[in-house]
Amino acid sequence: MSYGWPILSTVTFLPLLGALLIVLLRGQDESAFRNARFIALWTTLITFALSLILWRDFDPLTAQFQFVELRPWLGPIAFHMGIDGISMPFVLLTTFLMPLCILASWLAITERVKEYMIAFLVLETLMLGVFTSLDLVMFYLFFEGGLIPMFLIIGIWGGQRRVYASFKFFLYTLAGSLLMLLAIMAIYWEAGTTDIPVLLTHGFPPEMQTWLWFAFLASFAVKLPMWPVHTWLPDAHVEAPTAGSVILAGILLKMGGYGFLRFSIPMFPLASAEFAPLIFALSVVAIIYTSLVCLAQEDLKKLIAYSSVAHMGFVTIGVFTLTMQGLQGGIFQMLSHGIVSAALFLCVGVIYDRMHTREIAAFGGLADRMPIYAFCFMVFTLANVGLPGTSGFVGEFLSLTGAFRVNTWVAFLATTGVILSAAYALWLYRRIIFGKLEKASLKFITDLTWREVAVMTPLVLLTIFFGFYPAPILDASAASVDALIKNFNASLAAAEQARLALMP
Amino acid sequence: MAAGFAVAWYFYITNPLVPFGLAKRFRGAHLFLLNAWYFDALYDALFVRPAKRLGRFLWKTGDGTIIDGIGPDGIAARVIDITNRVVKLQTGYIYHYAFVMLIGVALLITYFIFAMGGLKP
Repeated sequence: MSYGWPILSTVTFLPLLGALLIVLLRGQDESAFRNARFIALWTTLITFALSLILWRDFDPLTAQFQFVELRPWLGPIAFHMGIDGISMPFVLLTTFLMPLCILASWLAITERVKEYMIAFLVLETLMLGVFTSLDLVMFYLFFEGGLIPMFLIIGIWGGQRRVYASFKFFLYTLAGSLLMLLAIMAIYWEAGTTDIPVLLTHGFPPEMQTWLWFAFLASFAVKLPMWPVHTWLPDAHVEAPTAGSVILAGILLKMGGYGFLRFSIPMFPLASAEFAPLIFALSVVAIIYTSLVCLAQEDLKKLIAYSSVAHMGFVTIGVFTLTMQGLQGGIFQMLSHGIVSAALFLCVGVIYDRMHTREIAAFGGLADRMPIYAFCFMVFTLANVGLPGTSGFVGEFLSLTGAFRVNTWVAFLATTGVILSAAYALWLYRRIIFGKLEKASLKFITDLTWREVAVMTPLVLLTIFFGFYPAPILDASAASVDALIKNFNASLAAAEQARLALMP
Repeated sequence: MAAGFAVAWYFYITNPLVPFGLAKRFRGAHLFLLNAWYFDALYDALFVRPAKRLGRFLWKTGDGTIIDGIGPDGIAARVIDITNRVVKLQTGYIYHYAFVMLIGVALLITYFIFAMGGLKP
């Protein structure tokens, strides 16, 4: 598919153009803020519209990279972009969530509005770049670069302990990613290129695979996050402004899972097969451990943050089963969680904007005065639990199906997480929405404004739509996932052949 | 069903005072039935409260003290400890710095003589 213009880099770098326009705005008064908000909104909306063209013209029947752009750049490092069935849904998720984030910050951010919008637009470019680059070094630049705007968003527009949280977030993720940088250099000296499509067919020596696999794991495990390197997440989420939490939960976490799918499994299949039990163990611990921690939370945002860790546990389980169901379930779970957890953080933002507290104990009986809010919150709570008919169910069910085929104990233990998630999510809903509206401070709380309704509506619709009709995502990723599994099994078979040939 | 109907008719319509007498005479059984066999209390004690307590323990001790305490916060605190000691070396007195230099030179010469065999003729 050729357009005469590079559509993929347009989608990726268009937000940067919007950021540039905001830089050119002068003044720090209300009219400049208004312009900044509208520029950001329109930029993200146009980016979303362009990404829909990608979706329309995407060919789901091939596992090849599509919309490929290849230009020489820094010697052996090329400017190489392209998407396949695994990355395309994430590109759309990113462009879809960004306008909602801008809308959600419309009135909530009143200081340094221009800088805030610039940070978000730059962040969008960097996130899209992670999913579209087909060169390891480019990927690394985007992957690491995304830390900077997020660091600023938490550190400047965050809550009380924002400095602690932003430093923790930054140092945690940077420490993990530096190991990945070392691995990338090792890959370059081994394979002589950093081009991802070439590396996917390279076949690294088995003993090297183990080291590279662990180096990549260090980075992706922190990002995802997996137990026990998850402790930055609750702090970062609690302190980040609402839209920051949305992006963090909705997209930044998915980069870890995407990394496993793009690098760890296809490039280091032997190590992936060997250490899959380790991933299972960590994921099962994460699911049960963080679900129990959720039961003890007193802070709304922290509860949802911990439940994110638990839900990402299903992703890693699904992905490392290396079955069709598991992998597709993992991908679907990431997208579903991207919608649902983003929506839950937006829900928290709605009441935080009104009451300026996130204490669960400060609320109760909101259904009386906020019926529309109660409805939206209910849909997302049930999707978070994984109720059939919501998108959460499809992802969890497919991942667990895949896990059941590989290891029934993993499936059994992970399923207890579903029960626990029902417990903490419904209990949270009961404490916030139901009961008598007794607290004096809540007597005059108002229901959603039209802007908040506009933000919630697409999320509610998508949550239910994907619950009943998950085919758009499953079909788009099917060919790529199928190719991934075929190559994986072929490498394992080849390694087994080599091992047998060496035997006396 | 017919027996149940008859009993209910007797207790509620014919003679509504009998159940009160029964409740008083079989107090234990009455309370047991009234609280639905104490199943809620049993569940609360067996599952709900232990789960909450465990969750709290994992959060405060597991995440807070162990993972954060040894991981990021612990490393940060050790770095501050060490730098606080290093700061004490910077006294500002020339003769302190000169003395440190002297120690260094002495160590260097000692190493040179013993490990590398000194100057070769």
